[in-house]
Amino acid sequence: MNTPKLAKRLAANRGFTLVEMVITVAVLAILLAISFPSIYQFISNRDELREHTAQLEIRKAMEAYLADKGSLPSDTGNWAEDLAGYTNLSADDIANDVWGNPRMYVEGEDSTRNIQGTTVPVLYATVLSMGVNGEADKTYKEGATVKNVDGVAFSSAAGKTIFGGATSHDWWSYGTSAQVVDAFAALHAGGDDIFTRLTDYPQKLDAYNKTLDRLDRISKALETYGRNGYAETISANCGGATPPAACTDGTYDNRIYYPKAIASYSTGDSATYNNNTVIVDNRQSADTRRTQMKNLMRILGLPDEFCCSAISVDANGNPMPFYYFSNPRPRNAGSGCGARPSGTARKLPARLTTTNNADSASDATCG
Amino acid sequence: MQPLLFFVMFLMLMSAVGSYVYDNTSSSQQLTQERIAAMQEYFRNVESVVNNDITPTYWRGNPLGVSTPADYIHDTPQLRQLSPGTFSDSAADQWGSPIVGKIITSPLVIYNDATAGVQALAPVTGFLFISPGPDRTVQTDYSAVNSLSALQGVAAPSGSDDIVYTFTDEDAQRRTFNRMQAAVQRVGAAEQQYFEDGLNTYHKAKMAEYADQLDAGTAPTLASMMSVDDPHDPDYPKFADISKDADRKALGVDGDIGDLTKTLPTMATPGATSNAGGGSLKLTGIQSGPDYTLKIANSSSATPWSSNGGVAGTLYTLTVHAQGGY
Repeated sequence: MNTPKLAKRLAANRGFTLVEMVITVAVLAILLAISFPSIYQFISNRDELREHTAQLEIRKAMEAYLADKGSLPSDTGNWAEDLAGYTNLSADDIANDVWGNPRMYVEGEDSTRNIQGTTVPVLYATVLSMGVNGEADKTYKEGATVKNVDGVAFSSAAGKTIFGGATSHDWWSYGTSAQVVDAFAALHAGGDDIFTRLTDYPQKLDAYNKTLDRLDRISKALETYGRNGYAETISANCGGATPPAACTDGTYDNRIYYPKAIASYSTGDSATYNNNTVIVDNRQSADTRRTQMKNLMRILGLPDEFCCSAISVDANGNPMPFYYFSNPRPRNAGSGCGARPSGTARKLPARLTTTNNADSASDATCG
Repeated sequence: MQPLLFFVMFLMLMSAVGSYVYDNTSSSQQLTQERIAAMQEYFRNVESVVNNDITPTYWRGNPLGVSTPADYIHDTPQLRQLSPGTFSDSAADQWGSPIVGKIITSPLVIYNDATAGVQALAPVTGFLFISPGPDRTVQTDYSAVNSLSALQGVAAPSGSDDIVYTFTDEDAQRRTFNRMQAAVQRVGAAEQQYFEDGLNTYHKAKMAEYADQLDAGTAPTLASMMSVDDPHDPDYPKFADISKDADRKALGVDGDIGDLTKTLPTMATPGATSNAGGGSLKLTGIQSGPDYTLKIANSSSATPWSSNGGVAGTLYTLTVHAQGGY
C-alpha cells in the first residue's frame, strides 16, 4: 500500500551531483591540509608528554631500586627487567621509548667523591630516548647557538674522552676509571632527544650524616659504659676501712673499662691487652663482624642498626659494620704509633672506625 | 537512512575524539601531579646538599656570592649534577622553565657566650627558589625581598600554581660551630687528664723522696714542703704542647686538632667572581704560668666567620684549670 509513496520519494531523491561531490572533497582536502600540521603536532606533543611521563616513572623505579638494593641496575645486564619489579611499567615499556626505539641506560660510580674529608662513593645514571627521529643527536641549540653534545664521561689513560663525536646508539658511557662529576653535570640531550639523570648524592649525604650520628651516639654510650665500669669497680673493692693497694696505686685507674676486643692482629701487641674477651674480631668477615658489632650495640643499649655504616654496603648489599678497637692508641707517643701501653699504662678511650686501622708501621694506621 | 548513517558516523567520530582527548587530559593531569611532587623533592635535595655538604665544607652556604638560583645551581658543582626533571638545563624546572628567586646572605650571631665574651657571627644564607609551575608563568612577587626574614615569608599568591621553596642554612652554620666547639672541648679534656696523670706521678715521686729522706733522717719540715714553688720545679707536670705532633697523638686529639686548624677548601667553578673558599682556622694553646691554666683558642683567619663586633679574631676559647699543689 505504501509502495507508490516510497517509489515517489526515491524518485525525488536523486543523490549528489558530480559538482557537489568535487566541491565537498575539495573542501575536505583543504580542511585536512590546514589541520594536518596541528594534528601532527598534537600527536607529537602527546608522544613527547608520554615519554616525559615514562622517564619520570623509570626514575622513580630507579630510586626505589636504589633504596632497596643500595645500588643501580648494571648497564651491562638487563636493566629493564631489573627495574620492572619496581614500577607498573613492563620491562618492554622500560626498555623501549614511546616511539618503539630502545632507550639507552648508562650507570656508573664515582668512587672518589669527597664529602667533608670522607671518601663516599656516589652513583650516577642516565636514561636517554632518541626522540621521534630515532637518532641520538649530537648537537643542541642554546639560544641561536648550535652546540655539540659533549658527554664527557670518564678519564682514560690518554685523558678525557669526548663522546660528542660518537656514533648514534653510543651516545655516552662510563669507563672503568674514576668519573668526573662535572662531566655528568654537563651532560646534555641533543636535538629532540629526551633524557633523565639520577644521582644518589643527596641520599649519600643523608647516609653520611646518619653514620656520623651513629658514631657519635656509640661514642657517648662507650663513655657512659666506661664510667659505670670504673664506678662499679671502686664501689665493689674500695669501700672498706682498709682498701687494697689497687685502689690507690693506680691499678684500678689504669684498667680498661670499655668492652674489650682484639685491637691488633699481632700476637705480640694483643698480648699486652688483657684481651681475654673478644667482642669484635676485626680480622673476620663482614658478616661475622656485623653479628659481633650487633652484640656490642646490645651491650651498650643501642639499636642493632648502629652496628654499621649507613653509607657502605658489602658485596651482598648488607651494611658494612664498623671496626672496633677497645684500646686504640698508647698514652705515650714514641716513634710512629708509639709503644703499646703496658697493663698499667693509661689508655685512651675505645675507638670506632669505618676502615680497619690495624697495626702497621705507618703512622696513619695506628690501631 | 542516510541522515541516520551520517549521525551514527558523527557520534562514533566524536566519541573517538572525546576518548582521545580524555586520555590525554588524564595522563597530562597525572604527569602534572608527578612533576609538582618531583619539583618539591628536588628542592628538598638542594636544601640537603646546602646544609649537609656546602655549608659545613665552606662555612658558608653561598661560597660564590651569586644572587639568583640559576647562577647558584649552574656554578655550584655539588648542585649541577642534580636535575629536577627531564630537561638538560640543571636549573630548568619540570616544565623546562628557569627556576627563579633570590639568594641573600646576612651575618647572624650563631653563638654567644657573654661570660667568656665570645660571639660568633656567621654568614647565614637564605634561599628562595620558585618554579613557575605548569602555566610557566611566575605570579609570585619577590622583587622587594631584601632580608632573610622577608625571604622566608614569601609564598605563592592564592590561585597561583607557582612552587615556592625557602630555607636558610642557619642550623647548618650552628651545627658546624658546635662541632668545632666540641673538638676544642675534647682537646681541653685530654689536656686536663694528661696534667692530672702527670701530677699523680709527680706526687708519688715527691712522697717517695720524702720517705727516703725520713729514712735517712733528713726529712724537710711540712712548712718547707708547702713553700716549694711547684711550677718552677723542673719536674712539675706541664700541659702537653699541642703544637707538636707527638703530643697531639699522645693526647689522642690529633684528628680534632686537624679539623680545628684546617684550611677551608676553595670552590672550583666556572665563572667564579669572588672568593669561593680558602681561609684557615688557627688553634692556639697558651699555658699561663702559676695558676695552672691553659687557654685553647680557635681563631678565624680569613674565614667567613668572625668574632664579636664582626672583627676577625678568636672564635672560641676554652680555659682549662688544673689543680696543683699537694
